[in-house]
Amino acid sequence: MMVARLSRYTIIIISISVMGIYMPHFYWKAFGTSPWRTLLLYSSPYQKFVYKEIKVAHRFRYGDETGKMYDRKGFEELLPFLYWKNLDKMGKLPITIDGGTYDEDVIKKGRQSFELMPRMFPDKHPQIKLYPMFDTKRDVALLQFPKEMFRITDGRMEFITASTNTIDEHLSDMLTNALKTEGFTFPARLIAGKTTSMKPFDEGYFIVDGKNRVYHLKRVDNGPVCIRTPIPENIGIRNIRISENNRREFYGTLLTNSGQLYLISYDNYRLIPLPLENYNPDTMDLKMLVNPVYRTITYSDENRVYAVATDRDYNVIARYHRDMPVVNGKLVKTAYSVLFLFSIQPKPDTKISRYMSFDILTNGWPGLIGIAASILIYIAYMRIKKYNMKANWFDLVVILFTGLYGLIAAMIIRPEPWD
Amino acid sequence: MENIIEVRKLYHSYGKHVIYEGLNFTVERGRIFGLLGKNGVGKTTLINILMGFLHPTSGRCLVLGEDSHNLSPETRGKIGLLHEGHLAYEFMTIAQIERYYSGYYHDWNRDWYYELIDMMGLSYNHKISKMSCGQRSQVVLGLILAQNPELMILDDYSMGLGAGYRRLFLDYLTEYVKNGDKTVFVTSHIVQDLEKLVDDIIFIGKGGYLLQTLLIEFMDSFKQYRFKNGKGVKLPGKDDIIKNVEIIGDKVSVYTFESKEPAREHLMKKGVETVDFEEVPMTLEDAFIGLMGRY
Amino acid sequence: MIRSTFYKEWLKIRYYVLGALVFNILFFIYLFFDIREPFQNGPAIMAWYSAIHIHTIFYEKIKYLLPATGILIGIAQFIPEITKSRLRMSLHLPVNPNLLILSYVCIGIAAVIVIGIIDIILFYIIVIKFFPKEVSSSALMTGLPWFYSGLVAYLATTQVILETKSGRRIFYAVIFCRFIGLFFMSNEYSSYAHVTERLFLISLLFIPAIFFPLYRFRNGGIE
Repeated sequence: MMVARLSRYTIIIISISVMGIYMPHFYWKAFGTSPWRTLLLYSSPYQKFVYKEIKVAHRFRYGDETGKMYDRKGFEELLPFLYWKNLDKMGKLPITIDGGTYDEDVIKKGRQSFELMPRMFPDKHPQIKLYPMFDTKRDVALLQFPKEMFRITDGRMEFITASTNTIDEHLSDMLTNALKTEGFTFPARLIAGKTTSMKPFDEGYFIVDGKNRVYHLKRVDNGPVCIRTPIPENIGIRNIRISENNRREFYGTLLTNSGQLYLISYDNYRLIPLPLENYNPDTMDLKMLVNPVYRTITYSDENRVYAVATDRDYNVIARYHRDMPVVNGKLVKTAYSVLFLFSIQPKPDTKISRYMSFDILTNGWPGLIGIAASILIYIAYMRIKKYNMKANWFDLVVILFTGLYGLIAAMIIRPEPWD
Repeated sequence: MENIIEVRKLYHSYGKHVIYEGLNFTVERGRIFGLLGKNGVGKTTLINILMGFLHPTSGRCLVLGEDSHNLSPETRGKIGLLHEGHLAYEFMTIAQIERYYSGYYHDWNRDWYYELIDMMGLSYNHKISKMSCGQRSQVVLGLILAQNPELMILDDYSMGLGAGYRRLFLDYLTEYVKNGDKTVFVTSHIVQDLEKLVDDIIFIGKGGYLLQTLLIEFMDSFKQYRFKNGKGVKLPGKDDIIKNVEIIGDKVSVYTFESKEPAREHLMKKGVETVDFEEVPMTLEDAFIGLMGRY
Repeated sequence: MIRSTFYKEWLKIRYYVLGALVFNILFFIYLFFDIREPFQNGPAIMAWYSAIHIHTIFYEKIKYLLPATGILIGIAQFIPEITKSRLRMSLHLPVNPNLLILSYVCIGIAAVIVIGIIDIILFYIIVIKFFPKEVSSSALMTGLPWFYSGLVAYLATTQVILETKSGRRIFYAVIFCRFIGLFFMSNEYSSYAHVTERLFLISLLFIPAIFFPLYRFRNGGIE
């Protein structure tokens, strides 16, 4: 009897957890509207922020920070460095901005962009720690994929040849010695490099050692090149992201534990702080656009997008932020909170993390209304069906903590009439 | 006498369909009880309640002093069940099923099992799934006998059995209960078999009609009288005395617990002409149909 | 008593368990050739690159192997029990019915675990033949929820079968399928690393959950 009663609650709990995942999901499918995404850009010729709002890749709205709206053509004219091909077709190149003249070649060479999403941090996506070490040949332009991958163990760097799945001792010793000569302390705390051959050239890896010193290691003409960088040990490195670009201005970005983002300059690994306000690396998606005149950095979460424009030396010229358009009406949102006391999110947005999380998200005070209603409905149901309320009091406790989910579960998996 | 089964104020319904309303009866130790009822009057429901596979809507059903739906393992060990259709694990062989059941019962008597099995002349490695109905009934009966239970509940043991196996089955049951400390509760759709076996009878009819009686007493007191049916003869209706009326050809049969003369007087009082009024001897089957009706 | 119980369950499911085992082994032989293919047709490093940095799950084919095995064993074990309500015979044995059903379920779980362990060993041997140990451990981490879902699938199957009313059976089937789906929500390797314990713990609820359908069966499952 007792066993059966407890058993019933285990099925109810299983059902509630499944409903907590899928019912909110179905709710948004049925009543929600897909959100607008806002892109902020800095118009070099007009020196103001302009935006593009996109809904599901088909609907667009263009405007600027003063509230003026544009059509697509007008919008693209504001951004000559981005849409230079249009200008080229119309024969409007080269363009002149602030006394500088820019033709196709200068624009192309002066462009760079990169994106930094929370999921790119090592703790936000699973990564098997084996890396290809490209070998740059001074006389060959094309990067060739190496035949082995390396790992860094507690005591050395090991190269494993893929075709035989065995360690290449010679190569391992060579690179280990190169690191040791520079005073590298094993094991490595962080290994950062771009692991694709789809890049213009290779800068190898930035490796943080056991004492938080940053080493730059690469392979040139089958020999190691190892540099101990002057990046301070106490800066508290959270992540380094390398992205080779022909402009050779910076190797990539360095993020500290305190959330400060730096560029790692080609000028002796000098760290250039990016002037970001309200940047939260754990929730925000960051984009940096470089053109021959300005740098624009935008970063956004689902509610708001921030932008800062700087000059070539990263001095702030202008800042702006804009709230993403509100799409779901108040009724839809309130009804959601009333119906669903909580929801279980199996995994975060793919931009945020690639790990499964099964987070329990509470949906606010309106859920209390849902609980109260659920309890009343259940009591009425028990009365009508003549179930023994005293014997099944725990049903009410379940509903008290789970609201509608508990109500549905308790009514479908109802007590036996004689219990 | 000790009550092996005690049913008190049993009420059962499926939704609004009431099967029993206040059913009462008792089964005493050492007796063989036959449960008789037509299909659809809730025989299976009652058996399921007795066997503990159905929770009655209300009322009590005690078997060996415990609630039938909540029997302790020890008590279940004292009860042998034969499920409708001689249910058994078909994937087992003759030897395997004996080995399996023997693990659960302390005073397991494997000789009784193999005595029945040997009569069939089958290999012990014969699979139950490859047996005939009759052979399977031997296995099942053998298992119940080997268990040596105090109470047997046999649900329609005769289903699918030929005359030979039925007789064999009855012989073994008779042998089993002869010491007087075993109790058997049996249902069968072949009424005439029970006539030779049972001491007591419970009739159940539609809407929870119940009659518990000794077989001898019943056969002795339940009567069929026949008289001539002709044009203008008034037909009697059923009442407290006349349990049933049947018309066969030019004869009218009435069934009653009254003896001949009072029965006739009763009919006359109702204005029924009773020409050629005579008693007709009945088998249990005749009496069963007479009491419960044909349909 | 335990021996008899084990004996009967083993007699009932042995051919299915052995069949499932053979099928699982054959499947891993197939997986071996499937994994070997890119190593024979192209540079080995590209197979590594794809597995490590493109995050291709090259062993994805084994995803549903163990849940399918679990469902098969659940069916083999409990469909014969509910056809003609044969479970009545077990329930009349002089044993506590909850303990009895628990031992039935333990036997099924043991069968799924044995096959699962053989699967895991074969899987590891195959992956470690072609890949460094980091990849093999990641593959195990990735495969673990899939293998574990085999146990959940087995338990869910037994519940759905034991439940006597078809409406509720459908509800269970929908809920339990969705629950099993939780083990298959990612196309990224090792992505269950942080939630494996949580998922495993809540899945354990499926074991005591078996008593309620049994209780319902005992009190009116036969009509």
